[in-house]
Amino acid sequence: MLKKFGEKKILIFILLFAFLIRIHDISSPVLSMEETRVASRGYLLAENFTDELGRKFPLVFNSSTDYQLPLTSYVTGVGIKIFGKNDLGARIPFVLLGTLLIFLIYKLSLELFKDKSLSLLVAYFASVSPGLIFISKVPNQNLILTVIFILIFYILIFDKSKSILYFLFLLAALTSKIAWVLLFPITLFIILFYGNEASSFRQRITKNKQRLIVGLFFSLTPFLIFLQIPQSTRSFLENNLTLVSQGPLEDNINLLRGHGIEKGLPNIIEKLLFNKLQILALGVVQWLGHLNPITFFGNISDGKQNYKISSILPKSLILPFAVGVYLLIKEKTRLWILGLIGIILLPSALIYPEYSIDLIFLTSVLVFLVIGISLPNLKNWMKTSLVLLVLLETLLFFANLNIERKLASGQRQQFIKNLVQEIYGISQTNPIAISDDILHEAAPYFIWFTPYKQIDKQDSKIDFAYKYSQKLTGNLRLFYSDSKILTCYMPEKDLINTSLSLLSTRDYQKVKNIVGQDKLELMVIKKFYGDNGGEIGLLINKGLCLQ
Amino acid sequence: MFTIKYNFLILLLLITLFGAFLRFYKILEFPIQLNHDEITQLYDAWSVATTGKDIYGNFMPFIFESVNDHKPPFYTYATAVFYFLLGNNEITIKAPGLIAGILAIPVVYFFTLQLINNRQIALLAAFLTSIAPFELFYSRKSFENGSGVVLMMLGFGLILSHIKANSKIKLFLSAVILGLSMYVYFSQAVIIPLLILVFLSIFKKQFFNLKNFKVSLASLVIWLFIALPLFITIFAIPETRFRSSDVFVLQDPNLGNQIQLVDDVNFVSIIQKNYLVAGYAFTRFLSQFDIEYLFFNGLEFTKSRIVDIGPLYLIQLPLLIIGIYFLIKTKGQYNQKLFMLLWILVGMIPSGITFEQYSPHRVIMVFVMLNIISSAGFYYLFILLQNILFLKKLTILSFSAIFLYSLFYFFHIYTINFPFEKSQNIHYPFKEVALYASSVKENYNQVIFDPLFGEDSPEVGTAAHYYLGYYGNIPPTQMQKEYRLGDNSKREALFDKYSIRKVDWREDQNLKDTLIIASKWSLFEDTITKGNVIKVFYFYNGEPAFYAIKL
Repeated sequence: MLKKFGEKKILIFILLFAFLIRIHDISSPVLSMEETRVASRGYLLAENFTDELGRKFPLVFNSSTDYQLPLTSYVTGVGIKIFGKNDLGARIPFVLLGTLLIFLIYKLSLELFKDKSLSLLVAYFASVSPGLIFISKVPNQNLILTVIFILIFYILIFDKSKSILYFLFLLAALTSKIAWVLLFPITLFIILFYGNEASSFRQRITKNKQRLIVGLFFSLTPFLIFLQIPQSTRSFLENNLTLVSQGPLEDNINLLRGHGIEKGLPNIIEKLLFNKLQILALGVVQWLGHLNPITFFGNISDGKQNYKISSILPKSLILPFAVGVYLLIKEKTRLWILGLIGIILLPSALIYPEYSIDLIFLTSVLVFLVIGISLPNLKNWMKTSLVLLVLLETLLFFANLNIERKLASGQRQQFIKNLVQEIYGISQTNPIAISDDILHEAAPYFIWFTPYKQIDKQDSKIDFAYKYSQKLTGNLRLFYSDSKILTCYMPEKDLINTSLSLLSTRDYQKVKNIVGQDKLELMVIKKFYGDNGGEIGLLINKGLCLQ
Repeated sequence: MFTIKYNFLILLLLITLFGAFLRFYKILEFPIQLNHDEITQLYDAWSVATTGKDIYGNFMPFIFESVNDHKPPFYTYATAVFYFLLGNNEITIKAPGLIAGILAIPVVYFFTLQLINNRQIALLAAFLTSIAPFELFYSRKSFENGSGVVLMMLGFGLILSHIKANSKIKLFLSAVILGLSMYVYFSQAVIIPLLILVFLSIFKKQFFNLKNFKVSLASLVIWLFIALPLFITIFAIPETRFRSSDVFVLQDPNLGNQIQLVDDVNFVSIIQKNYLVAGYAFTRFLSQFDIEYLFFNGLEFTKSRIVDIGPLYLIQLPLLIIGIYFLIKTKGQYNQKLFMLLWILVGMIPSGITFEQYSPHRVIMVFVMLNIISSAGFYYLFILLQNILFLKKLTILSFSAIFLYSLFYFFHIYTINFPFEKSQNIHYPFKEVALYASSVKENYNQVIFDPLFGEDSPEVGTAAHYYLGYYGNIPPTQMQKEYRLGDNSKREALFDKYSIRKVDWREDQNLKDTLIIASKWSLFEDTITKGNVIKVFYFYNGEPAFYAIKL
């Protein structure tokens, strides 16, 4: 049937289809704050090779959660350089990489199964997977890392060019800290366990010594360099080792021990029962928990890294996935795929209690291979039903995007663009101060949505900003929770007449206490509303000052 | 052959005795008090046994109104039987749960033997059943679904046995048992028909062979005949339907918020709503297989759940993985393996479609099957090591030590930490309140009890009248005559000298000759600190739960 249409044509059709559904409605989903930060930074890098803190060609960037490695921002910058400072520019590199990922899944599948029809089916499933669509539409490191890793698998498995492999190692090391942890183990694992050749482990290691050494180099070197950065330990503890760094676990152990001691049990018994070994057990449980199909087929995202009401893969694929796992165990010859999934998910043991979505994306490629293994064992009517079910899911997915927009409004706020542009317009003629809890991180939005690109002098002095909240400068100011707000009529020294203010509920209450309700109500020029219709800020006319 | 069988039976007996010991050990001390399900069933059982009516005066009810949760009948009537045997005391309500818990051990052995035809695995499954946290917990708290699962396994074990040995008696017995087991717990009423369908579709060749066709059909008719009144009741009595919709996943506030976003009423919005519900329920269903929940903290004995215990021991996790591998790897018995898989999938449905994130009490049958698969893993591990004597001995020693440690860990967390952390969950100290109120009520015109209580957040103890009635030794006949609803705005219930209602201190402080028992959630702080508090009732951890105030 497929041959009749021409497999190449079908592949092109699938890739075109994948490209179109990714580029369609390019502005959706609305960029989150962190994605806006990457986009704005990409723009600044494209403009003059400096980041938002004014540093030339930096390799470690700031974000609200962790240090960011450079590749994602530079890739975004390339898109903006070519297509301009707009949604298309920021997202097109990811649309293209997302489409490339489908092709790579097809190629990997073809090399493994030697079956074009089957590989086309796998590519079709990948092309409509909600999670893969999502990461193909917003600036993010998950997609870049997944593409790099699939290329690394491909080269390692099929013994392709070493120089490209090393280049990919370098790119991976510049994308995410996760890569540092994974590069060497997956290289070693594939070398040891892939293929049916009768060669021993020793022979395999000897044959691939160079690859292993380079893999180890790219695992260790970035790690060692990173450790030289001032807050690197904190970065690891707060983002990659939350299992061991969280206080509640130790508090709970002590609490439970206390109950036993209160009941007269010896301290040693309590120590034997409740101790830090439980952290280890919890880590193992957390790791194995990532092997639960819910990670691929359940709605586990809060809207940040995937659609909130969609899974990473279509839910209907859980059946062939289960059959695939069954066959892998039964046949044993391709058990390495499950092993590789386990190895890639291993770092999740150290991150508790959240799901490590970045790792789940990396393994999703292998999940498609597991699904591919099941397909030859399914009867034709089953395959047809599967195709139709996945198609139905895709249609429902698109039909529900409007709900998705409303649901994700906590993470992806549409009102911000207009608000920021309006405030920026005002700032061209008047100084204006904004409550910092309205936008949480205002600077990236101003840089991305308006011509604003000023850098505070203090900001540019920071070498390695970690979780740093960038300041606004010029005619734009921020009210912080501890800012002292005064009326301009007070005879204070060094007052900056802000002229206008955009106040959140928090600051509105503060100001109300200073100037009084009646007076304040008269000062309100405009009210701004959030995506869900709630009041998020009030524009106040002249009269407030910030010390 | 005979000797081998005999040896296994002796071992089974020893395991069962050990299991019985673990279930009976300090049973009246732990749990520290009868929970609200137990007290309602005990009082209703007393009432039915002595008057033929429940405490509300309904004659031989098919569904017990209880605390508006409309309980299925089996457990209360079973308790009524024990009332005749053991008299009116707390052990009467414990008895059905304990007996079911002990019977579960040989029944699991029988079921496993019929299912996978391997005595060693069956014995190991019986052993795991004897010590499993979920088995001990639910047996000791006398939870009805435990009995339901025992009956279910016995029923399916008998059909499997019939398929092997062509025994008509076993077949008819299984039909009766499966029919009856549906009356034990509502989720059983859904699960058993589904499992029968699954069973018939897997074993259709063996079950409907020409030789036995009429007998098989007759057994189905018997099952249907027994089950029919329950189905009719479920559809005819609106309360039982409300009960189902009350616990349905739609009650989940997160899903509710999502559905609210679909504001239009048209064909597309109906599809959108169903898509949301289906995606949500599917995710919830998959989350029931969460390893952390199953092996680490699913029983929720501690508040934080970071250090806790699951329905299964953590050490069973590697055994389960090996067991799955073993079952997939070994050839033959495909129907049985498929039945095991579908047993788990069907068994998780009730928990997957209800509003609670996890509801282990609804999926006991799944835990049982996971125990059986762990046993298969245990068995396979021994097979792998059988030629390496040293390793085999070391493994036996290690596993014995780890299981002993795990059992000790369970009892520690169950008897010490659980009461400290969660005494509120079993309405502690309602018993103490009831006993006190009963002892002093003659000194007052009325006793007002506000069951709004809680350490961190308030909840209403819905079974307050049962506690006051039972521990106040109020005969069911008196309760049936006097129990009435009062002021609806205060959700008042009245009987004897008791008024169970919301306390409004601004009004109620002016009452005379009244004893008020209420928590911090209903009283003013200065009321509590002033000298009119004559007694304080504490949660198990020493935090005040209720104050008795004399007016």
